[in-house]
Amino acid sequence: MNKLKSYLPDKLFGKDVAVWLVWSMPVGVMIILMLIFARWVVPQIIDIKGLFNQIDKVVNETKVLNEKRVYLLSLDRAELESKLTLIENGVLSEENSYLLVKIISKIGADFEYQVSDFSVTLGDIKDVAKKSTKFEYQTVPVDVVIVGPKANFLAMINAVEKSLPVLSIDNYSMTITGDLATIKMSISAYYLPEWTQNKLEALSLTDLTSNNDELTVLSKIDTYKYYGVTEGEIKQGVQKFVPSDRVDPFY
Amino acid sequence: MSLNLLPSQAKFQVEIIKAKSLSRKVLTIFLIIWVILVSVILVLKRDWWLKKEKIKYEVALSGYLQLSSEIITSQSIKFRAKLLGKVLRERFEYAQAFNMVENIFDSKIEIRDFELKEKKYFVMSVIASSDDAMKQVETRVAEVNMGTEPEVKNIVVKSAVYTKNTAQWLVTMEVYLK
Repeated sequence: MNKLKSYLPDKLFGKDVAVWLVWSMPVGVMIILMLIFARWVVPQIIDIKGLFNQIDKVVNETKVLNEKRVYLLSLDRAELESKLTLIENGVLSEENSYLLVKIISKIGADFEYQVSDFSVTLGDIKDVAKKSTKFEYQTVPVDVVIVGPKANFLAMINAVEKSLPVLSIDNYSMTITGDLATIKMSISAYYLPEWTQNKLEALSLTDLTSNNDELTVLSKIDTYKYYGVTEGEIKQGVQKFVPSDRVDPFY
Repeated sequence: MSLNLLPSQAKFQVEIIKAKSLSRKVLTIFLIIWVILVSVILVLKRDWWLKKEKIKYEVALSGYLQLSSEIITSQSIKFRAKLLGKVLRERFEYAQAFNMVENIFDSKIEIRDFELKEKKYFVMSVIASSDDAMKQVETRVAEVNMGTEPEVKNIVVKSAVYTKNTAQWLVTMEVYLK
């Protein structure tokens, strides 16, 4: 220290250098502590910021989950089930064109119409994933020819358009001969696979809540008539193959 | 006015002592602040808070997932309703079109064929069993083309064939809806 003093002037800013040297140790310690702070502690502050963001995120997610839970608890279970039954009746229970033919036969029978011909092309069932719907569904088409009284054709078409499952007529031509109307139609029904999603928590409250469009659809199809076909009815007419026991088929 | 009568060496010593005491105080305060800051940061750095919030989240999640059947039901309803809404919006309502066609002509005029070519465009054949009925067809077509039917844009008569044996007119026309 004395050696250092010998290099310094006697006075600095009107004070003896020895007085200034008293501050050298505390200032040195402070600089070291500040350097430690800057080198090791400041990066921790950045980490803490990230941690706080994480905490914020978790707190928000918890809040949203609780809101969704409260909403789900407020739903009337019985009402939900009845809505589900109604809406499930609106689509085909399976992607089966023969089921669709059965449904058309049932509708026609109410108006004395009979399916005289139908054609189902294998592979016609189309997977559709459209931007507007943002989900995948299947269109099940069938071409049918139905014959019945001319007087009932309008009521029959009306019934087709107001039936459950919901059907859409893609093509239509009609010929009237005497009192009989022969109607050729391409009809489609729709099949939607069971809804599956692994991350139920990823759904937002808006995803869970019914919007006006959906409620309008529900109230609209509520007025439609359901033409359900049981599994037994689908299998009806499909006879089991029985192999012939004849040795010579010509005798 | 105070008078300092200490010798200059003593004054110098007093100044040194004061400086030492002040520097010690400053260093102590600095150290206390530094230690407090570091301690706070170290406490915050530990993720106990995050862990606590994660536990709350897990509790909320398990409560939410207990309602998974409600979630699946509501989603099934939602997706089916979306699909049906789209179908109902986009499909052509034939019954409505037929009603319209039936209203264009009188009951004396009988529809023979009807084929939808495109949405809002169809070809139909009607039978007029008398000259009066035929005149009515002509009059109605002219009226419709003048805009009397709000739903129909225009009708183009493509052919009119008279069959002597049955004394009937078979009129084929193209109908364009609005």
